[in-house]
Amino acid sequence: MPSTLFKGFALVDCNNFYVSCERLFKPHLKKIPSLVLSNNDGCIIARSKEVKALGIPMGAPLFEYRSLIEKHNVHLFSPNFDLYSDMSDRVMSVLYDFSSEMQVYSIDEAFIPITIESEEDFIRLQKKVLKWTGIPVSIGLGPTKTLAKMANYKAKTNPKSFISLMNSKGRDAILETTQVGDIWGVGKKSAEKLKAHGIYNALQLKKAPKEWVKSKLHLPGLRTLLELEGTPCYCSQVKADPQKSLTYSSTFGSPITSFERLRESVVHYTSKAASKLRSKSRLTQMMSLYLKSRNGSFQRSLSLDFPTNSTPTLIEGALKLLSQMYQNQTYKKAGINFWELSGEKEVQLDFRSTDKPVHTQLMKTLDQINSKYGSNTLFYAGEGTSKPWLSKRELLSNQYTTKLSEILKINI
Amino acid sequence: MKVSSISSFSKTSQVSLPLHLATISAGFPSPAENYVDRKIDLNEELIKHPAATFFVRVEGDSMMNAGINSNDTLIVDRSLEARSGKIVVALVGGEFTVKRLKKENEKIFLVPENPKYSALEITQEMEFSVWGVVTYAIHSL
Repeated sequence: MPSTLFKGFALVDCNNFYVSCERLFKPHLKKIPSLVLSNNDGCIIARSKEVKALGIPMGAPLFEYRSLIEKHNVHLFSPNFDLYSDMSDRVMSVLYDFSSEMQVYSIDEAFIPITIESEEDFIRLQKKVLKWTGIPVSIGLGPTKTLAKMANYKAKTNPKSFISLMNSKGRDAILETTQVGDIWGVGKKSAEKLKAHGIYNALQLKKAPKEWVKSKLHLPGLRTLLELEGTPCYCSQVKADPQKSLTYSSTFGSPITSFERLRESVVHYTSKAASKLRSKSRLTQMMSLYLKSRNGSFQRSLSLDFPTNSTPTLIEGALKLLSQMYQNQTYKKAGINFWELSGEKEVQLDFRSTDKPVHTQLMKTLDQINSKYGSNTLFYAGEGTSKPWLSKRELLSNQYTTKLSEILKINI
Repeated sequence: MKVSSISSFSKTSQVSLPLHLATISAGFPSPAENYVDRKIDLNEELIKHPAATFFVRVEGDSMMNAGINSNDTLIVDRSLEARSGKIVVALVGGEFTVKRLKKENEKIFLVPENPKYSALEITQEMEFSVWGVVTYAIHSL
């Protein structure tokens, strides 16, 4: 991408993504407060606008809000990750048609670099995503990713779900209404540090002395300040919030043309990503395989039957995706993404939904040996796995787009 | 440690039939006889916009004369323009239906394809939208 043409970024984000996926096939719930529960139906992982208005927070345990939910007839869904991952692929492919430089950021967000595109082009894109996939999206534009994220955040409460911060005029007013904790890249601890020094909003941060910010928040903090000023520091693909997703990707040393070599790389990257996941004591429920070839970039997702960080299970998923995506091309890069992460402790409540004890022990041994003798001392040659137990999900909707026996039925 | 399972790679999404490019003339075998070029892929032929394509199963006889039978699987494309004369999946009052769309003199009608049923005029107060355009009906014989 010629640097002279680069103007900024658009951040496209699906509105209430999981709920929107469900409502596409259950349109009578369009205005009914609806929420999606976590894998064992224990916590709230997605809320519709109406549920947010009731004051029910994200991540809340269901039992704490039972009475409020019953009082307002809130509709509950068990998480239908097969549906969500397929719908995500659809949204991303429409965005990819628009710009081959788009960068997937999470299961429902992507950054699109702005070069020759106009604001009208993005408004048309917003309409196209809704028409083609049925998913409403918010779009924020800005000269940097941080400002694009901020614009997108404001767009959520805008009637057109569209805000541009490309023009510096009026930008400061928006910065002033954005709390430091809500700035992309500023975590809880950093936000507390800033507030302790009287910096509460983005405008105050932007105006703070750079040396001071660098000393308190180091390089990432300085970059955020520069991005708030309009100087891009994050241009290439950035890794998403490590609490919500995990990525392992790498460009190949030399381009790969054979399927066997590509398969080896995918197995290797999946192993690496899985051990990273285990080191953080986290489990994943959805995964994507990303491949970049001379002809373009491709991503495909699938969901797992239960949250896992077991290498053989994840390799099985990755190879399934690979077999669906592989074409006879020259590949330059591959990546594995894990979305919808949960903590190991949360899942142990439901014994049926965890991996068999032998997997967990095996993983522990594998990690111990690898940490003692160096990673890759023991690696997987593509072990098969036994069928996983199904998780609790009692309020599961149909796999409308991934199972022919479960497609939408209409009486005519 | 167990030996890894050896499985062959197979693309599951294609329905392929080899397309023979050489015509078979009587008497002399063509030098290109064994050359099989492109394969027919039903996915490619029937689904032009994968991101916008969904499958729907219908039950009922109101669209019989359009070739849509009860229990058929319909291919629905949301990217297409809902022009008058097209068979569409529509939402009326939050409920799904499949009918032929007719736009006449600023009026909109949902028309069945079975004399047993009558057309529905969409009025201002009705909650109406087109969900997608039906492109194919699939049924086994």
